[in-house]
Amino acid sequence: MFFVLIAVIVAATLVLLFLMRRARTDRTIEAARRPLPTSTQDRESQKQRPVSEREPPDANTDRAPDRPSKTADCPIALHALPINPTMIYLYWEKNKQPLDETRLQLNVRDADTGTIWWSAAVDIEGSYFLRDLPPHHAFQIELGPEKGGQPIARVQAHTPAATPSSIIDPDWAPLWEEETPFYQPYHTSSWHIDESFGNHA
Amino acid sequence: MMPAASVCLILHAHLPWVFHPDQPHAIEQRWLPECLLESYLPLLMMLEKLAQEGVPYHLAFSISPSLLSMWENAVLMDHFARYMDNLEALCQQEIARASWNRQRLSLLRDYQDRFAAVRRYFERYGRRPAAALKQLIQSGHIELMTTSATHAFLPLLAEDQQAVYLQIHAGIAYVRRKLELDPQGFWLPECGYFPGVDHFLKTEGIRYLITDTHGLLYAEPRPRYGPFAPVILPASGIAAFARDPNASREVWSATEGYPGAPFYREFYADAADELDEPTLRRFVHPEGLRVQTGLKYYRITGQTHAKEPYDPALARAQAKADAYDFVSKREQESAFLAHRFDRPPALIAPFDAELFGHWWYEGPQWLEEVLRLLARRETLQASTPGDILREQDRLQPTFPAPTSWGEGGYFDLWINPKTSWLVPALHRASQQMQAHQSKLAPPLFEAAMRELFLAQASDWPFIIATQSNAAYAQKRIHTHLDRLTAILEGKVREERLQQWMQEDAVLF
Repeated sequence: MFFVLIAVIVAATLVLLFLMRRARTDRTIEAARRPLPTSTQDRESQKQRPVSEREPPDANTDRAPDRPSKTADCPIALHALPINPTMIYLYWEKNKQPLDETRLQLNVRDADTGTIWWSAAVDIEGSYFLRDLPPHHAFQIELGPEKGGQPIARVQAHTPAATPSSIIDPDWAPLWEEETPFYQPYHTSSWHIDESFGNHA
Repeated sequence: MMPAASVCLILHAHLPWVFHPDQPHAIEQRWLPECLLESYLPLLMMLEKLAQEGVPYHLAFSISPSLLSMWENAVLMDHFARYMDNLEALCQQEIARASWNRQRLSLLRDYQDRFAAVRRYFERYGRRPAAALKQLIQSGHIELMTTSATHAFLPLLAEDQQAVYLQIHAGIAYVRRKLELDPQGFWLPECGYFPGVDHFLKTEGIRYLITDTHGLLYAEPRPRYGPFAPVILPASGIAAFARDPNASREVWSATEGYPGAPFYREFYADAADELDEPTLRRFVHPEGLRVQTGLKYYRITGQTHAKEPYDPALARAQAKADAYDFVSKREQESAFLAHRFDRPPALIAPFDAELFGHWWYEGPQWLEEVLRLLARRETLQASTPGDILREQDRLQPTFPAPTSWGEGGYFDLWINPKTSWLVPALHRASQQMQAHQSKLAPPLFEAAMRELFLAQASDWPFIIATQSNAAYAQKRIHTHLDRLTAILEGKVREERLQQWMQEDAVLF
């Protein structure tokens, strides 16, 4: 009788542990499947900012005006990642939709003036580092047919600032005015440091 | 009189998830025991000692979910105990070998005592360093911070917001579940900030994040107090702090920093260089690799190959002097700022926890002395970002600039011609996951998420970019992405899946 009781307790504990673990996984699945968190207030505050300073739209925003490449019905997915004040990394790849083109034209425009900053004929899938860009500047990047015509994919990106902002909030007039030159690092992360310390010869 | 300036010391503890049960002697598997022995446990011991002595201090401690997963993995903790067995045995053997050398003998006895103390502490908490950390949080000495699930460099994932969200959500949820405590702040991996990342932190109950100095210095509109006061991000209401460039440089800099002082222990001169082959194979590595043992006999000395013997007493004195210098400079800095500011300045000094003890052996002694000195100063106080937010109810709304720490100060170290292939690869993998997730049963979903998370760790592109162990990093990325594809396509047998679940048991 005693052993039966012990066996029942052990079995019940195992079932309980299994259910707890299952519930944990279910919560993560639920998080993965639900739409991304959004807030109307966030979006409204974004609208108050200059276009070049707006944050990327939520992934569950069905269509962002300056990011047609995000939509599933676009044959090309075009992405732009600012790397530093003078560099943007671009990559593009085919979506599932059919595409007649075999080569594409990549145009990089100044977002403010519309003038073309750089352009080249490129393959249907590829990547590119845009270099020597001006800091704190917005660019419109387009991919279209090599022979000309309407862009197939378009994305906007802006380079980070490299100097203190000239925009001043009158309620918060700066008390700290030190101008710092273009950032120079003195630390290259964590436990991988090699030859940083010890001055070993 | 203006209240005391705040010196916020932040320790960020992170290691990538490394667990190779079939390769017990993999060199990468030594990272965790080395850091446990030299950094994590000595730091926790030191903080506990200060708490018991009644020294008033408060500091922020960020633990990455991947490191916490390793701390909570019984197999890895047993591995650490075996690592200690070997090291203690080697130390004993070295004592016999050094009987002719009184100075070395004394140093080895120091090591022996230290290893024994670490071992006792480790066992006292049931081989759970997380239990020790939790106690310090609950006693009000540490403010808890955490980071993304596997320390993904979030700007690299910025084009895939679902991936950013899941890294943040899963990481915070794991820490909350394991420690049963709410993290107050979020450590952006590698200080990598991009506009919009705060949006996902708000929904997780996070109050603040940390950027590098120029994240605030170049914010728009220009911040009233530069990097010396928190600001509020208008879209999310999350506060942002920036690290104090001076406090960081004094510790981090390879040329000017404290850790390069001649009396400190030389990291690169290890006993392994002197051991004979049989001893090496028996105690260090069965293949005779001269990997670091942790027993080191020399001090930095200077820019020379001729190293002088290490003297712990001299090093301790140096650590005290450097701590005094650090605190005095913070005092000067805060006096300079307080003269101009209408609120007490916040000096944010974040460091990797592994710097203290592992890279800079005397780091925990230095930190202990800094905390003791801060407790005695009237013009400075050791506090946390959470304390500052409680005291300063009105923060300037502004938008920080995208930045990270590391070479260049932006994202170059993680996204560059050597690593850029990773960006679309991770993006594709995440999209693949999103496309299949509704069809996956919970165990497969869990396995797939782990593989995706592990492939996203910031450590891999860093290692590739710095060429420190690029082959291993590339192998890890490809392994996790291949496993993810196999799971999503249903091409994995049950026993293989179980093996991967054990090997990649991060989170969940």
